[in-house]
Amino acid sequence: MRGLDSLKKEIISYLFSSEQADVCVQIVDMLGKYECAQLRMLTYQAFSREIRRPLADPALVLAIHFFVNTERFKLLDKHYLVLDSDLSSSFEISDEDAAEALRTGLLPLPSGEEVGNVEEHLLPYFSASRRLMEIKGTECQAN
Amino acid sequence: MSGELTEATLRLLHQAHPSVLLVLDWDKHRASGTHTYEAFCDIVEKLVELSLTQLAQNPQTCQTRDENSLTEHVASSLRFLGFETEFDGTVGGHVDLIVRFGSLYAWLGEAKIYSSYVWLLKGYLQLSTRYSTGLPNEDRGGMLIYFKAPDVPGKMSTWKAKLESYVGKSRAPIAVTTVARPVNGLASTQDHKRTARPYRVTHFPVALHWEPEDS
Repeated sequence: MRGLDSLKKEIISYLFSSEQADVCVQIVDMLGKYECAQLRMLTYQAFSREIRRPLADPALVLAIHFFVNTERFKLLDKHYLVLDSDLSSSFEISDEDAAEALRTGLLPLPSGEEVGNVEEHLLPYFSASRRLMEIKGTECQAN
Repeated sequence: MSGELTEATLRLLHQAHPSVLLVLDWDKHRASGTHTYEAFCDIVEKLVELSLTQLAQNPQTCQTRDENSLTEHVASSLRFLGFETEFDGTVGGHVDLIVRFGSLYAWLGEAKIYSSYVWLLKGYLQLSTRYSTGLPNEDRGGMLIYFKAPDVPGKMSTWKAKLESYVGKSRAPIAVTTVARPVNGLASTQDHKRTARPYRVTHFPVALHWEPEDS
């Protein structure tokens, strides 16, 4: 995919050809390979499996966040699901409600209970950003 | 979603990786809209310290490197950690590092390899009177001081005294204090000449002396 190939070159240059650039390039390759539907919900586990790096590898987590936080290379958006009080069922939460929970330290659960240990109930996941959708082309933008 | 990580589990898994925890902290500030200039600078300065520690852990690889090459390592680290960092070692006439959060916040860094206190003073004056604006949300910065000579604590102690006497006499009074982090570091505050607002500089010493005596 031409747009992603030139992006990889830009990333390598931006990160001064450092070792960290390699992980970022692996992630771009993964995002290029995945179908649009697969790009709607990417978990840490999904990245870990595809890139073949353990979840405990800081380079993996940092590279994912590189694509969330670096405006110039923003290919991913971060969202959350909510784990209910039984800690086994999960539900969608809007970005606005998740932000509110992180801001206030209080999270209303689907069961009706309100908890203060917000981060124990938020399951992060990632989706393709508008920029990535544009690079992927018409197929993704139509969906 | 079974087996997936919550935000809390991820932090636990990376409790020994401070750079991950700091990136997650900043991520949370961004997501919840609770970011402030102070929080931004505090996180940037901790990440700068971590990056400089990596250099100090491998002093033998730093002996032939100049200021730009050493500072490029810091810039590369900050960029990978998702902080927009301007660095151009090929062009003179501007500050060595600028870390930004969009157009809201900026933190400036000036790097010097220690050769004399006059050289360090030049760096401090460049940072505080040439490159910085002294405006709100741009009024913190750092001096990255690379020591290829021995005795960093002694030299930083002398640097503190020199700063207080040189700068305090010629310009607005300066307050210089030792800080717990960075190790052997200093924090100085002086009213900015342009805006008369306090301008705070963290002085990061980097111990790069390498002279093994076993051969």
